[in-house]
Amino acid sequence: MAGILIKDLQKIYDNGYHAVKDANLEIRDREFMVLVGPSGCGKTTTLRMIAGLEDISGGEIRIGERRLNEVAPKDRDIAMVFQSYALYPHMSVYENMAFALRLRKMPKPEIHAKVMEAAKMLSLGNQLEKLPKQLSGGQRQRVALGRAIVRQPKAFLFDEPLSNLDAKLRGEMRYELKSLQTRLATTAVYVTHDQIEAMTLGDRITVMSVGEIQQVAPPTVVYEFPYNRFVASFIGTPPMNFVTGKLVREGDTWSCEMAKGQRFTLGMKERGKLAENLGKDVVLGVRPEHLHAPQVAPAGCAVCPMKVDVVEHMGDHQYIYLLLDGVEDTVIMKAPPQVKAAPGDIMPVHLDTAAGHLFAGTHEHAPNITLPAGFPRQQ
Amino acid sequence: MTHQSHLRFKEWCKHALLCCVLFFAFVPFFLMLMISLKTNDQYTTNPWWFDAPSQWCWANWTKGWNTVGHYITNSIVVAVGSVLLCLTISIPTSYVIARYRFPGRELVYYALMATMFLPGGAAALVTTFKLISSMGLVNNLAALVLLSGIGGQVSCVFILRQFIEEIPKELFESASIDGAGHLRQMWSIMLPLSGPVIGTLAIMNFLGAWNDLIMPLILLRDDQMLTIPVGLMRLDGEYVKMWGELMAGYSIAAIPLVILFLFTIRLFVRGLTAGAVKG
Repeated sequence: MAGILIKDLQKIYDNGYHAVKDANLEIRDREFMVLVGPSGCGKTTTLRMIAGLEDISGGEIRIGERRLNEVAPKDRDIAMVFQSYALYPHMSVYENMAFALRLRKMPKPEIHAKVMEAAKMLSLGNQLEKLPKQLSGGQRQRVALGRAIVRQPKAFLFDEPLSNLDAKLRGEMRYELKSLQTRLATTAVYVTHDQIEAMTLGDRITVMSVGEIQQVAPPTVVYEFPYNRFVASFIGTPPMNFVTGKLVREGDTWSCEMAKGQRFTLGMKERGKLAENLGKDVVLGVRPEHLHAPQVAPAGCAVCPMKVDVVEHMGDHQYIYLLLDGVEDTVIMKAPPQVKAAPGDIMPVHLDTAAGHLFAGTHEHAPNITLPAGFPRQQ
Repeated sequence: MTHQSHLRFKEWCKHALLCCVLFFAFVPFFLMLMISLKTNDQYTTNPWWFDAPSQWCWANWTKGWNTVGHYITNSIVVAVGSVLLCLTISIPTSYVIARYRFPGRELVYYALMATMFLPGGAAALVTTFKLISSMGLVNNLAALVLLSGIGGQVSCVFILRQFIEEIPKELFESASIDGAGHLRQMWSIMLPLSGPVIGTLAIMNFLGAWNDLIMPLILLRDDQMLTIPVGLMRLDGEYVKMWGELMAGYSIAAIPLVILFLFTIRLFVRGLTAGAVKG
């Protein structure tokens, strides 16, 4: 068992594309670290560099005390689960799981014991003679996991392993993965573009965008204290609502004033960086659960009338899509089922800005200026 | 003409065409077998159909076997040797060109492909003979193994490279993480997955070496060294053609190929259609 240290990691492809820029990350021993971000953000490239499947253009990677840059994949003592499972189609389940052990010239009885143990753990006991094509998607995924487990590596690397499964199976496998990693107590690095997987699986999550690490923190911290606008927009379903305006002040009251003159009084506690952005363009971000219908609104909210566009009933809650004058995108409210709303209604929406965030500037990676002073990007 | 009858007519035409092709494919085979059981007199009086079984002339087959028996052994040595040499060279070459990025990779590949356009066969007879002669391999089966084995490898590399590139690269990556080096990846991943294609290439190379007439004719001197196609020419009499013996010899020469084809027909068809449909 060992932690993984990534220092000033760079990846520049032959065509000049800079896939990973100065990535610094410490993955602790026995930690489940999730790398999450949109396509092309550099997360898979980072994982492949850890695995040794991509050359490192700059910086270094260490597992424990050992520098890996020049070490061949087979000597890194890691196991990887691929998105496509990468099961050897001509080998049975048993042979797939035993392959790596046979290459290590492990005695046959020991190989058998390890394969049987992994098969039992993954409920594959009666599938061992089958070929991968005879298995369902979930079973194939289990075999891929089993192949990784039998190795007892220093770290597991997962490259979007659940994205080929249907939604129900994905949920089941998420649970199995997490419990398996807890039981095996092994360091794991998991790449996904699905923020639900990131939130549910990770001890900590690393949000990446355009080849750079945007924030590293436990899931709840990333959700509640997004380091910048990108993190705020990427984590959370439905995503955070953003409205652009100017930061204005009247006495002790700070507000975000919109193009059409509407003002949202800001209720955030952290105001250290507000003064330097006075009069500048800012983006107010409020999550759907912090928008309230009048009958269920807490005290101290900013109120603004909005027109109901679409209502989506989800059973125990509903999403109400609202149109705000002067704002192009719809604003989404997560409301309890008893709130009555119909398309076309004008609703006085209460924004709990105390739970919201303010971003300095309108660009995609604008920093969150309402975080506590000294809030670290990585924690 | 209604739509249905139009379709029926099209089907009928297709079947007629197929029957025509099959007829022309099998008639020579039929004639060869039939004539192999006739004396020259029987052939002259009844050239198109079998005589009564009691009149079948099995002596032709005995004579044929005595003549071509050891040529078959030589041909098997040359054809098998050529297949082994061809695959031993072309499999690792295709693997490296398909799987590894290195400077000049495409240049190497296209340079190899360009050799396909060099004149071969009759145009290169003199130079080839001089080369083999300078190697001291005239009248030696090794010369034929060398020529057939190396001659076939460019097309093998061309076909194999395409096939290997279609094998998902994750399989090789997974194997390399599992601890497999290049040789092991070739042996345990590439070979089993390319079985049909390699089988097809082996059969085609085998047929090429088996049927080659020109090179053995020029390079081999001793009767004991001759391969089947040259040996069969020996059955061709100078003044009188013994048709029955000749055809019996041809039939015996075809038997190993028929057996080979019967055993590998499934492989052959799979190989020819490999990659046509995503499976």
